[in-house]
Amino acid sequence: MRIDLTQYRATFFEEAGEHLAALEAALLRLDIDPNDPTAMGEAFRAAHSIKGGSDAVGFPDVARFTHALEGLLDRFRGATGGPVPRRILDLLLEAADSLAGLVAAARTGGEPLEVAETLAKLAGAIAEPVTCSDRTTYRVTVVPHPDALRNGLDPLLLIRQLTQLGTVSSVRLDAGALPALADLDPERCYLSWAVRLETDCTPAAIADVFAFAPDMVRATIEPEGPPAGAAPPHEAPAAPTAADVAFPEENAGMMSDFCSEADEHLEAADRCLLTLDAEPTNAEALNAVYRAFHSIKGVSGMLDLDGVQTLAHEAENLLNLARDGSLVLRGKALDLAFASADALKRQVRFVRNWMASRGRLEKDPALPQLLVDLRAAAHAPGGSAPKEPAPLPTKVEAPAPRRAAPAGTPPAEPAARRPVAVDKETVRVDRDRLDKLINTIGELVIAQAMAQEEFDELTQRTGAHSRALPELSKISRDLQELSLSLRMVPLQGTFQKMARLVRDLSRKMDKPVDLELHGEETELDKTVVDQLGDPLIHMVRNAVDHGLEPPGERAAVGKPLEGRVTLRAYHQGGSVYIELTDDGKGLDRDRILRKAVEKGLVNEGQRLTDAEIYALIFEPGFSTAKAVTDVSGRGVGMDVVRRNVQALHGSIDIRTQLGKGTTFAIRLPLTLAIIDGLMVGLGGDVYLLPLLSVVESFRPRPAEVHTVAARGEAVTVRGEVVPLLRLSRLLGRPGAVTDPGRGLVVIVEDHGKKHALLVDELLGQMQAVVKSLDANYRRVEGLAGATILGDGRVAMILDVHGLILLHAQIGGDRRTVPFAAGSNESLGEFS
Amino acid sequence: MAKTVLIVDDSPTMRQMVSDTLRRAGFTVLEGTNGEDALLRLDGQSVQLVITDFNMPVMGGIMLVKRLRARPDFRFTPILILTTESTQDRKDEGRTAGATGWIVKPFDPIRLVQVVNRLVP
Repeated sequence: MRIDLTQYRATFFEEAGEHLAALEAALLRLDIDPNDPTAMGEAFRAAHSIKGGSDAVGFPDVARFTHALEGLLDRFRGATGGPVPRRILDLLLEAADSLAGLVAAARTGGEPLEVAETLAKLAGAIAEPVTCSDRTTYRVTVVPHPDALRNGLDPLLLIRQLTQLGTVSSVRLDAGALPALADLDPERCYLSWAVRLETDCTPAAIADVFAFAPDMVRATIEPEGPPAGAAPPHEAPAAPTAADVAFPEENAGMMSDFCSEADEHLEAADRCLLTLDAEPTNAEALNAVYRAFHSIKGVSGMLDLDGVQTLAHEAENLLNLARDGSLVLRGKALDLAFASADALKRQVRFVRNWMASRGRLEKDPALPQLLVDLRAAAHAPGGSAPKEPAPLPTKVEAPAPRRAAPAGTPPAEPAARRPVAVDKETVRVDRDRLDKLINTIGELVIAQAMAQEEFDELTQRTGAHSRALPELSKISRDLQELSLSLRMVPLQGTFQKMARLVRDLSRKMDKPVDLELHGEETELDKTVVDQLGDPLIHMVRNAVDHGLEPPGERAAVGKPLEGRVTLRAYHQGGSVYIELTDDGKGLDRDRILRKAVEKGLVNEGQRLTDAEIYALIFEPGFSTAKAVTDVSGRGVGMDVVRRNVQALHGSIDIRTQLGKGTTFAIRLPLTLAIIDGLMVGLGGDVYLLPLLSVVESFRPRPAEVHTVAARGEAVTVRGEVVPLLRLSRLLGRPGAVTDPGRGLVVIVEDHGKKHALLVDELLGQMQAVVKSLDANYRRVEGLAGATILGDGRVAMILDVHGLILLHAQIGGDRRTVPFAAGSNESLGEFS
Repeated sequence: MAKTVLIVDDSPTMRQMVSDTLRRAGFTVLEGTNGEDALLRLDGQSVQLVITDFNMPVMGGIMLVKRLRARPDFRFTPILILTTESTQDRKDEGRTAGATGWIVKPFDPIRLVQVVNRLVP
């Protein structure tokens, strides 16, 4: 018997889309920080999932290709893997593109993409040994566990293995732990060794020799510093090697506080470093960065986090030199300061992982080199750096003595263009408790509404009055508003990341970019803010890479050489808008259309509005970039952006003018916990339509309803033909009005396209507390959640996008890409 | 002379995968389905390396390691635990019993051979 695989393919494509997005997001993160082991892990898992899925649903080409990609990712996975070389990253990105193409081809049944060349490159890269480009001398310290011999491990075997990795120039025996002969236990291992190994293997490859027995032998691998002659005058502190320290349970609470504090310090440091990028001697920014490193150093020292402490100490030294004027923080020195902040962020992440796993503390393979560089930089200026960090700034104008910022509060903003953040006293609260509080208050509001309704009935029957009830109602509403504001956080942190990203991109692509930030203080639900990062990264990358022209091209059309990117956030009518504007070349309507026709997303001769054409760039697998650059244009991007924004119940619009620039406007609800809804009745039940997507509602005249053979029904609204969706049919609810002339149609908008929903009646508006179906029951197609009405009944919240998908599936149109082709086509025939 | 590796695992599939990998790499392989079975099969044979599962019926990996370490001929023999468990507690338990190292399932054949070669060159 043959199993029909096609029924699973739709699911596979949906999942593959998500995994491709995750893969690309992870690779882009690696692009920024090639040492990010978490990103590598995520990329690997994404590829792994696609491989498994594609094999299961019968796409051997996709599976074979993904297998190779997964293999290469696997080689660079793991906490000890060094930075991913540029060349490999480029190949991985290229492979991710090809994979997206393969999946898209499998989906549309189109011509399979030619990937043999990429496949060969992948195989080649997998076969070559993991090496650094340079031959480096490492000092490998091998400290066997005292019980190593008794546990069957002969340390000499492993030291001999090292000789196979390169040239061992010296082996120093440390017999310091050897006791007097009388006390000597011949089966106990007292010795340790220091091996000088010159090799082109990465530290990870060296560590691999000892990897199978981490408990039996501790090995530390450090690159040797600069040659003896140029060695820094002071003894370099040992590189942190906290690998096998057991998790200090007694410090668990402090450790977690430390992490959140460090996050804030580092965010502040990043922000101020960006200021310093523009004004290298801005005293306040220098002090702020110094304070950030200094605070981290202090606390990490108390917690015995040696890696963090050493790094923070060196970074603090560098900043101190800048503060007293013996070094100017620009060029290499500034890059080092940025790199230190990044490395500290990694360290904090490692500590977090350590807290979660209680296993071992990861080590940062890039750390030793960074420490060496930091020390070199600190000793470079004039060759006579102070031995001790100078205690106070001397040459740079120091600000008036300021009161110490309370721990955990970002230092005041130095830059003139940015609003000054006020130090506020804060209390750290566990996220779960906060969510529980908000949830309980939601329940309270529902209970209050139920009590009110019961009392209203009583009033009608007996004329009873209550003074307490209206008061209770007001208080519970206030309480709810307050509770939601608890979870509101400013967008500042997210915007800051974008500023950093723009700086990196601008340097990498040699495009001068001026980034303007507006409305960073705009607040949004933390859940929303957290999920906004990825789509914004994609958008900013796109803006800088594709939006802005190269300087030469700009000069040719008389634009200022420096491209301008503006990120703006503001509130309007209960929503938050985030707009990204560039003054680049704008979207080319005709090119997008041509490309869409080429890709089979629309049919030739199909009539589309400008908005519909621009919206095509959000279709999976669509990319207009002529050549795929190493930054963006891999076609997965904008698709991900739209999906992420939709997951937040938001929408995204494009405004563009050819030659002048493009604005992407994201509109988001303030919170995901409450929804403004339109209550509609259907067969005696109540449903809630998110008000954000409702355009209008009316009762159609019979002449306004049409049926088109094999295409379904449609309604004419002021000359525009809109597909008609029967809610009762989509949800499988009998007993509803079937004659559109007796019911009502609600016009809803999704992706800038209108649909008409047929319902029985409109019942009014309400603000509903959203209960997730995923969390309490399971995901249901076409439903976004549930809520409890004033009378205690449960009402389902409709998911407009899901309903339209459902319509495309069960309606006459069986295409897999319902938006791009199906509904448009029917429009085309009508209009 | 070919080196002999003792493989102890209650899963026939896993046993076979490990044996095949090592046989192909030129080792002689001895198999046991659990700790007790392995001890019975040893029967005075000389073994250069033991690879054992952690969770097995009748006699688990930890007990097997303890019993082997108690024998003069296995005092210094490398013993690897091949398992899905990789928590520090488990590892500590293994180390105290006398295990040499860990290989986490699912294992990569190339790595397995690499590690085995490191211990019995």
